[in-house]
Amino acid sequence: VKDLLRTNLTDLADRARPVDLLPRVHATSRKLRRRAAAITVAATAVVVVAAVGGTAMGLASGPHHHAPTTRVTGTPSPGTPTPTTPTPARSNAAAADPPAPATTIPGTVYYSQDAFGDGAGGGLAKSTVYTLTGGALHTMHWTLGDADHDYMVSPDGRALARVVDNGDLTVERAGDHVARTVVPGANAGTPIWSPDGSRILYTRTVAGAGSAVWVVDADGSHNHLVSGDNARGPVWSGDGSRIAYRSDGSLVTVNADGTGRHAVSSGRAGTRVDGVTSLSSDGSRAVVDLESGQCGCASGWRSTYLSNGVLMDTRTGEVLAWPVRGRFAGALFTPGDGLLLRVTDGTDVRGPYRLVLVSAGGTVLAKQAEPAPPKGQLYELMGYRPAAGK
Amino acid sequence: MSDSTHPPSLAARSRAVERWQRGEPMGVEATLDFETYVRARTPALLRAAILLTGDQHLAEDLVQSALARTHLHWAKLARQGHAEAYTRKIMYNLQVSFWRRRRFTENVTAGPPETALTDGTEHAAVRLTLERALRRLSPKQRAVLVLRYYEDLTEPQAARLLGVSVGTVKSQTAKALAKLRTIAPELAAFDPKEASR
Repeated sequence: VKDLLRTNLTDLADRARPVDLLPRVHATSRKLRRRAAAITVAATAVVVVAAVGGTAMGLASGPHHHAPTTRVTGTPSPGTPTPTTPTPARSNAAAADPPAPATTIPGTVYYSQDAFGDGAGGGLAKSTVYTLTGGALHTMHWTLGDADHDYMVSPDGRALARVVDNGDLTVERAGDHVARTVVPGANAGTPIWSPDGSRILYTRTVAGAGSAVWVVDADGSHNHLVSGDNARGPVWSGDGSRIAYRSDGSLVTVNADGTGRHAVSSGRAGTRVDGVTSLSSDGSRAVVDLESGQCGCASGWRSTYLSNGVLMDTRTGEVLAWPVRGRFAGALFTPGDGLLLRVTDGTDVRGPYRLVLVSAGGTVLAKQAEPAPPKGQLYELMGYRPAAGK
Repeated sequence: MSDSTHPPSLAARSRAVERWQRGEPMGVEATLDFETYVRARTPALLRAAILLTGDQHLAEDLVQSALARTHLHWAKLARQGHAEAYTRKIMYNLQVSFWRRRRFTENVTAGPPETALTDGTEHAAVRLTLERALRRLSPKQRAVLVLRYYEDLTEPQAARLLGVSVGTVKSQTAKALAKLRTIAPELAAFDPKEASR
């Protein structure tokens, strides 16, 4: 095989057509410079605001000041629990104000960690799954290697569905340290758990026949086709009754049994649906990544990097307004059709990010600064389990 | 617009391009401007990139990204003579990064069209089989195979370029070769050494 490689790789390389990349290189270079400049300006602005804010706080806490009416939220130290601030007594005038958002996201947020491909920074780290509970980040101990990237943790955090090298779909239960094959020889991809954790949705592909959506019970039984359709990156609705996926640039929703197919194109002219990351409980809205047309960064089923992430009406394709401002690198519907948003104000994929939990009515319930990842690594928003009773 | 302070003469450009093509460091005397570098090295970079990505457009995208990052540090890289090493390092690391891995995952499933077999020659069949098999490797496995058997780098050189240990290169190479044998056992029939065993 080595000799075959040596002789045939050169032939395969000969397929490359020569292209003058210079104009595109210059354009990309200018974009990178602008991005670097924007980050510098933003960092300077943060320092200035922090300095001014510190001065203001110093004045406000002077001996003659007795009316602290505003509570500063957010920005706890990364990786450390945020101390609870006693709620100040409210005056009658302030009684009608909405309550201030909590400073930690209730429940558990799941992240996967991946390497940041910025070039000279070094190779890949071992894939890792993290949980963020309160202010603390914990590592989950799954048997993941540095080549693993096609996996998803179950909603309760007790199992991991993973596609291994040979295309088998496997499930590993917490503490087992062994992955059990659920669907052998599936050429599977993008596994995702049903909201109740009983079933796994995945794609399987036959060369030349496109990609299809399948569902299997977590124990490997009842493996069945849901939809052909060259479907990619499927997700469940919050109640497990509907499924959304992308197909040839469109957003498609079907019932979990494959009936009731409905396809829409993006309501934003000139764009195609490039990935679906979450579907509301009733299947009426989806978090969708529109094709940027520039980097080809398909974010797929996991909430990775929504360069053009939008909320979309699944019946009409209309692009809806986000409940908060910012740039999103992840958005997941909560069981009550609120949203957990991973937001940044800058343009650097490394963040910093904050998590914002928003109710179905658009009220900000909680905000929390996200702990910074290790150098050269990135987090991907993978899942969210609300606190019990929420 | 050139990034170098003095426009190079035609002869100097020619000498510099020859050095690049031989893979030699440029040294402080190198005065090749960025435009010339891009035009001289794009074809070779695209050849490696198409092996990494399996697709002309993705290869162009990859090389474009790597060259743009090189441009940001051009003055220093050209002065030190490390420009091409830097570009290649960027390119390989971008390829195994998560964005492109995700993209790869989605592309890998489709496979090349069956019509590619129409020329009927054994050589074409080998290439097609190999191409399909390569598409089923992980980007990292693919990268180590390209570095070792196309770029002809040693294990330490490949490890340095990917920023991993030599052991990782060895293990990834072994896994990649084993996987190739598993998913395309027919390749052995085309290999004179294997066939004679």
